[in-house]
Amino acid sequence: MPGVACPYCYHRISPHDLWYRCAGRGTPGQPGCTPEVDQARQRETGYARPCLPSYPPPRQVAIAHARPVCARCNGESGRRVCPCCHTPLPTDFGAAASPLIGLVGAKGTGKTVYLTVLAHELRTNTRRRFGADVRLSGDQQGDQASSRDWLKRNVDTVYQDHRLLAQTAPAREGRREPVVFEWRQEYRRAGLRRLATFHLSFYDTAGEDLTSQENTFDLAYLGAADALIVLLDPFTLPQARDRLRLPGAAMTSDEAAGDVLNRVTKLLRLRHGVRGGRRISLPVAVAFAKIDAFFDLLGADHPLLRTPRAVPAYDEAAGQETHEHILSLLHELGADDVDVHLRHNYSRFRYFAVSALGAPPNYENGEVDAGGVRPLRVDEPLVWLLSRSGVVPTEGKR
Amino acid sequence: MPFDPASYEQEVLRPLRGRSGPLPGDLLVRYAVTTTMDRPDLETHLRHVRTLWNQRRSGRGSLAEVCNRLLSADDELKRASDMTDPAWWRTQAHAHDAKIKPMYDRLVGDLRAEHGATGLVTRARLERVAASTPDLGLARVAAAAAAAGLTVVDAVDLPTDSGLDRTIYQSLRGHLGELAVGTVVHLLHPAPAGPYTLVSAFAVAGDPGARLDRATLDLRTIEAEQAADSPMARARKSALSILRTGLANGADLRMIALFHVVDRLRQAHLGEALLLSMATDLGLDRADAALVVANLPAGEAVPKRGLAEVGELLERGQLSEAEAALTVLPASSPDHATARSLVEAARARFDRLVRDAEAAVAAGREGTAEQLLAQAAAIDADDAGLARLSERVPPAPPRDVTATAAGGVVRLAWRAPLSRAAQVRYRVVRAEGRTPASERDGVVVAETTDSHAQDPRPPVARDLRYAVFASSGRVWSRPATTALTVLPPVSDIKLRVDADHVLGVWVTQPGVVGVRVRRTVGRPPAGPDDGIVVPVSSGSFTDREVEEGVEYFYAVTAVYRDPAGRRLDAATQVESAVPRGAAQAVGDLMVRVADQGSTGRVLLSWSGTGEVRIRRAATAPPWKQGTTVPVRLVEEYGREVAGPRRSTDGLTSMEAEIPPGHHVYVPFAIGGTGAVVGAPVVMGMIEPVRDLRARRNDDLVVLSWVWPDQVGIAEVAWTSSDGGTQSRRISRAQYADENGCRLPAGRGGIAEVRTVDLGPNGTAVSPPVVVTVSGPAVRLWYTIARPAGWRNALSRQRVVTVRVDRTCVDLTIQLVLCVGRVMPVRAEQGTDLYRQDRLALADGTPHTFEVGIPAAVRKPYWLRLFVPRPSGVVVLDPPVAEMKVS
Repeated sequence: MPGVACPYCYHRISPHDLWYRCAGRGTPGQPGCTPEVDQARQRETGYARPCLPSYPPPRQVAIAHARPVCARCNGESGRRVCPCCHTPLPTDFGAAASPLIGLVGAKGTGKTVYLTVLAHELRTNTRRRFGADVRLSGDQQGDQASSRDWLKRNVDTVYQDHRLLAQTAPAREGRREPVVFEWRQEYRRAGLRRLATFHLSFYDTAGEDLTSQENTFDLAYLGAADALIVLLDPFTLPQARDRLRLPGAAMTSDEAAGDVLNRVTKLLRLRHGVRGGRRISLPVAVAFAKIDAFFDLLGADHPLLRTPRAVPAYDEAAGQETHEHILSLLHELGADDVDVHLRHNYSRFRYFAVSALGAPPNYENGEVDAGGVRPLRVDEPLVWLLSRSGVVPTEGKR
Repeated sequence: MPFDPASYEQEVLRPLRGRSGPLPGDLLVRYAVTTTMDRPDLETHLRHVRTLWNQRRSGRGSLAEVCNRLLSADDELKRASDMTDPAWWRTQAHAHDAKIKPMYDRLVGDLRAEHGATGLVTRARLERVAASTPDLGLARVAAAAAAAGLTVVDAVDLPTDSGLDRTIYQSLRGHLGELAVGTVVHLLHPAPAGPYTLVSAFAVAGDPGARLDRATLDLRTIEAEQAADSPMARARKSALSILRTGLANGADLRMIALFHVVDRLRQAHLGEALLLSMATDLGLDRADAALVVANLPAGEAVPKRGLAEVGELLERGQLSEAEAALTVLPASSPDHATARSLVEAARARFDRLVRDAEAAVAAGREGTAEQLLAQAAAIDADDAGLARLSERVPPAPPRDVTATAAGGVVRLAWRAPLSRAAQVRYRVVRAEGRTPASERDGVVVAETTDSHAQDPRPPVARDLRYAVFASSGRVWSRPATTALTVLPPVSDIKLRVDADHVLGVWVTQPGVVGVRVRRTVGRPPAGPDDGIVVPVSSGSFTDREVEEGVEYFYAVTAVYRDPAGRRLDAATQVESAVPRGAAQAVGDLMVRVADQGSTGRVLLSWSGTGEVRIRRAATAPPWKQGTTVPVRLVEEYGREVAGPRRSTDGLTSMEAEIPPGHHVYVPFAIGGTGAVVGAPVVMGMIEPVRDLRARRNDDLVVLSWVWPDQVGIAEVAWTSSDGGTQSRRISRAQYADENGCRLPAGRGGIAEVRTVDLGPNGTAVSPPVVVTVSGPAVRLWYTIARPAGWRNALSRQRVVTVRVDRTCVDLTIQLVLCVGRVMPVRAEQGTDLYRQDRLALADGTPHTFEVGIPAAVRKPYWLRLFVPRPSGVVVLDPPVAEMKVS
């Protein structure tokens, strides 16, 4: 697909045709523009707060003038915004590949908890492991009600209050703002050290949103995604349920994993225009959540429960091992239809086992285990996808 | 000019209707004749005029009457003269001009005097002047106005109503007066740039943007809301609120403003010149001011006196004004009788209320009198007699006066009288043996606006009478009284004991003539005369008739005498004491945590079995070890450590529950001379972690626990099965970042977690919480490779090498081939390629064997090693690429 996907509205845009946002300073004798609700931004992202107006650059701006002037107040500005949704973009947006990684899953799978813990891991352990500067990106104009606030509230709820998160409401009128991370990392090319910034955009879909193909925003999101993490709830596998003897409250999702995959596949085929006779080339990380429930079943020495080596690269050998063990587990649990579906529809996919909380929560009371959050392998799907995009290196390739 | 009957009727006949007296003297006007008419014209004209008169005389009404009178007069003239002669008409014209000349000149002067100030006169007013001077006629009156320098203008309809409700308009007028704002215009434009117009439109000279509209009103409202609160600010907000409401109900701000100006001018009852000045002073443009004044109804200079005004004055509580208005209302007026009855009824009611108020005062019902006078004031607030009477009526006395003696002072309290007075002040007067008769009769104890007071130096043993008077002006109320005799008891009784005696001391108030002490044994005295008398000397007693260990109660009573010499006893005070010897300081207190893992329980022990109190505090006591201090001071230090005690072999121990933190434990040995301070012990104890759990994942142990509140550091000690130890301190933040506490599992071990608190008194550590972690059993790993050499690159032979991390025997290993994409997880899922039982493997010595893959097997297939026996051996698979052939 041409261009780069805007991490906020998911439209493909050219990094050379970005618009500018007025700085509101005006010029001597002429007052600056004042914030007002940007209809385009509201339409595309649901952001309905007043913000300064956006304007296109003059044609010669790229070569003649780095700070084009606002047509209304003649003030200069260098703040670049998406030409579609007018959301401010980082200064180096478009300078490097910015994979847009989608996260989808059925209702009750635990996507919000997973995304919350993944975001926390990105800013702590994952960042340290790769020596990367990982920061939450977003509108800095006092927009505290956006993803920054969303993430802080969720992290506080899970990590501090030890509470599970409430079910994410379906996006109806206002859309939720995606969670966008800047991943800034040094890498070597041709013997030289270079710095590159990648932007990772996650959109927390409500599970029900996927049940209807009328949600155009979700369709846009899936259509623009460069890679996908599909979170599946192993509790929906009948044999897993029987073996784990789960409490009734743990059954937060009542939709079979195969059905979820099938719907995602349909959406992807629709948006990417993949005909029935071909496989979808989009890399898909199929992550089985809540693997902590299998600790006793698998035993302490099971390979799936090992803590991966903390090397600054994706461990391909370990990844393959995990993939094969999950595949075996699927067959053991009578869920081989999941694998068949994936093999017949995707050319690049890999299985993962993750646990966002590290221990089964008390589903009745909505409480995280008293020992706190101890995530297991939550960043592996992301690291694999980043390795596919070249953001992180791969170790142990075949 | 042909005769126009309609015009003639309009201009000549109709003005004569209802007019008594002679007909107008100007015959040329009466007959509408001009001096230019010749005889034939006159004949024709007069015929037409008379025909019209005859036509109009046939009807009924005033016009017919006029025509009859004209026809009668015409008969007289016809008989006396030739009315068809033009010369006769010219003679009549000259004669009339000469006759009315003085009248005309006077009218010119009058008009100039009346309207010269404004220079304007309305057409309607000129018509009324003409009607009152029929000899002159409208044309001459208009000529007189022109000669007086007046401009005739059309009348302007000044508003007769503001558009607001009448009472609301009155409120608006009141608020404007309170604000000292001249007009509504000034309310909305506090400083207009120049004179303004209102009559046809609102405009301010020099400020074309000025408007009387909602926007301006909103702006002023916002300014008023932001202003600091004050009576003026409140009045401004109220006025603006009235305008907003009026505007919402369809009123016009310009009409309200114009009506207010007209209303003020009407109320002024001034002549035109002064009204003009007043209007311009209100800011009106001069031309607009002249127009308004010129259009004011004639006669506004004369105050109106009528039934409406009388009613209005009575409603406002201005009876005297109403009576004045009645006097100028003509007796012939139809309203006079009604107005008079209203005024007389109000006067009668006023007089009755005043009489009733006087009677209420005489009966001691001051509150009722106050209410009646308030009602009378509502009828005639200006009555000077009523004001004087109100000043002389005292308020009701205060209610429920109480007096209490405590600590040598008397505290008095009362409730406010039932009075409408905004502020009431009180005077408290004290007398001995009698009730103060007035506010000056006795010692003034206090004068206050509060409803309580204090007598700091009351005489003791006297019959004290307190009277509280109230006043809201110059007159004091009747007294509210209470009586009291002050008998302060002894205070600060101290009993010092030893093994063989009790010493008692106390403090007495001035006026005490003696102190009586009685003693009872084992129980408090039943009354002041119960028990054995203990001799007192020099303000103390020493009771030597006591036994060690027995509790004695001492009743101490202060004795006073009144002026008559009678004995008065104060309230008896009781204290108890147990004689005993001096205690020995405890120097060997030991404090330790009671049970491992329990929260907040300590075990205290010390030698000796005497009475010892252990107290704990955050800081050390202010006394040195061995100091004897009063027991009451000990009780002010920290908190008592309480718990069940046990004494064995001269050693006392106690288990107690205490909150986490650092504490200084101090033993106080209680003896007859007081408490002896023992050696303090400092110990910090904090709450341990809860719910410690360990989860081993392969070679890593993840510890998790619940942190106690307020604890941020934990110390983790790991003792592995092979005897190695390591420890680390982990903070809460590290714990959150690392997702628990991670330790290398090795072959298992024991983890101990203690919480740590670093405080100013040192480090406090919780009791340890322990968890045991089992390590993995034997680890076995293997590799699968083709035989060496390039010729074996496609070989179906495989070399399998097996290693273990420690020596083990009796192993069964099984290499399985499983066809398909899916990795076998159990040996039964494939077919054996190799199996060996009772295998013994040593650490560092690999076991190698070779297998061949049958030719019939097709890709994809898996090779995987299993260890069926013994259980617990952990098999570490090689990379997938070695196991999977696809």
